[in-house]
Amino acid sequence: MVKSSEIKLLGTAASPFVNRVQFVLKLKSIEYEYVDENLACKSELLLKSNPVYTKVPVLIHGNKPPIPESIIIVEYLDEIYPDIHPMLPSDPLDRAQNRFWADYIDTKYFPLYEELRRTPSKEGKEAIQKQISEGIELLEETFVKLSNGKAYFGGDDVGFLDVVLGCFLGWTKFVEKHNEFKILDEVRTPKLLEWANRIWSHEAFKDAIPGSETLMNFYMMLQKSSSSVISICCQGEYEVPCLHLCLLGESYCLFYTGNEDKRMLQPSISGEGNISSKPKGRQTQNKVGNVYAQFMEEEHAAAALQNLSGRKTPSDFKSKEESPPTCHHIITIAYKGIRYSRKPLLMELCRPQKLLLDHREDYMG
Amino acid sequence: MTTDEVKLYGLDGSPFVCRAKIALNLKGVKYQYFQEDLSNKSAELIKYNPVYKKIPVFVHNGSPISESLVIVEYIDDAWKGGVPILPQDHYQKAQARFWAKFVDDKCIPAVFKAIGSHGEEQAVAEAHEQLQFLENELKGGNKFFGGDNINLVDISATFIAFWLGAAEEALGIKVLNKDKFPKLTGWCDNYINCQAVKDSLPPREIIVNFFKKRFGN
Repeated sequence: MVKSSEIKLLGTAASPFVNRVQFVLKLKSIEYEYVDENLACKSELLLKSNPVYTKVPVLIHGNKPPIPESIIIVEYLDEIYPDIHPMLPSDPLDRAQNRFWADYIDTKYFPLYEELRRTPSKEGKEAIQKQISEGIELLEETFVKLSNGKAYFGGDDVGFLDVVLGCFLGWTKFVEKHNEFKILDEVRTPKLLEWANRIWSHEAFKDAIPGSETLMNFYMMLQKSSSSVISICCQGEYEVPCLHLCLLGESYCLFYTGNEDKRMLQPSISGEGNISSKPKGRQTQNKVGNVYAQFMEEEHAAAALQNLSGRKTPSDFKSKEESPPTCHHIITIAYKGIRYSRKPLLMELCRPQKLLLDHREDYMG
Repeated sequence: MTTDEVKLYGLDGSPFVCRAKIALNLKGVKYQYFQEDLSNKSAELIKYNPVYKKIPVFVHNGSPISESLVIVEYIDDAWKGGVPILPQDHYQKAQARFWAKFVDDKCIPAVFKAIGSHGEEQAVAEAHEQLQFLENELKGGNKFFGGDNINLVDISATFIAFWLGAAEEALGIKVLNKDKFPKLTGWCDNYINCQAVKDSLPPREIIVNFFKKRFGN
């Protein structure tokens, strides 16, 4: 048994890629420390650990630099603990087959769920549902071939592909319910349906697959951020009476306080169109941390940033001696499908400080 | 060991097929090469890669494998002797896999976009962002991503070493600036002069002509 202080996993409950790693850690009886990330407001640890993608999961093993990307993490764990519940088969050809299908599942199959969510029209949705059906039928064939009459892709017990596909079962159920269409069914995918039931009741999976409420919350968050909004997240502590964000036109805001206390502040709009927020519930010393807000227009986001940071123009930040605003340490700005470098106003505002910008194209990975 | 039957189905101009060739040459494996015509795919190609019907397809004693990085890892796995393509150390292996995947997922698409847009400023800026990660990854005077010898990461970035230069020439654009990417530029020269790589690369004119035809005015 590995000491829990040696392995750390950065993740978020709703991410199937994180679940995937959690299954393997459970199967191999590896103790680890789990660090929950708020993807709307990523921690400095995450941003430093995975500067290329800024995504979860990330595995940190001892003093070594972090390892991102779930498949790579799973292969790594399998290699450092080869004797406890090996995941990949030993034959090179079987291994290649497993890797091929893992790539298919991750790059071709699962992205269809997200595409389905983003497609508004009925015809569009039907077309994607058809693709999902074709994909799962292909996976049914693959299961039959690779399981060779046994219970799992890996044979008598759970193996690599069981974990790679199994982690998506929570979302599969969710998509089925939400769209009222069956992905796994007795007629088209009988073997996979039986397999799925085995996975649901398997010791290692039971605790790691998130419940429908977690998934629903995550889904709603994705829906809200679907339109081309600009989201800003300011980490730090703000004096509530001083906290003003400009609300103009059609912009809207959501506020979160702190990481543990993800409560929404109740925005109230003053006469001039400013939002001043009063904290609700238990707040210590009239301070809030981690403000998260969304805007439709770049100018509104920029105005909010100016207000939050106390900055008027970029040139106000002239010398290093000037004390930085008490407010923020890191601002993450993310928006849908539009490169941050195309938002000159925000770029100008961000430049004086080391700010990290990322896409919110998908939360998971 | 009984005689292995090793086949590779591909296209000369494909950088992905080239990856498989380099891996085979590194290991000194003899293979049969079949040139495909993608407008008229062979029955074998469709049989061996029914899911994607793409090249490269690698067949070892009748068993097919597709997806170039999966093929390269397989070659390293199946022919244990000779030059290792992946590091032995588990941690470094994970890092190598990560960077190879990065090249495929982020780097090459961004560079290809910059090429396709004829060096449009925005596209080049985005390509530079991704290339910067690679530039930073070439540590302390290392000739290659693999150190003194090429490894999976070097092989995955073959497009950048060779195809990019040909595209730049064909379209009169510059993406990989020497002043911005001194280490990466040096790496390109070192890489294409490796014997195993030299033996695998197609003639440069083929690639230049390809880009002229595909994107030229």
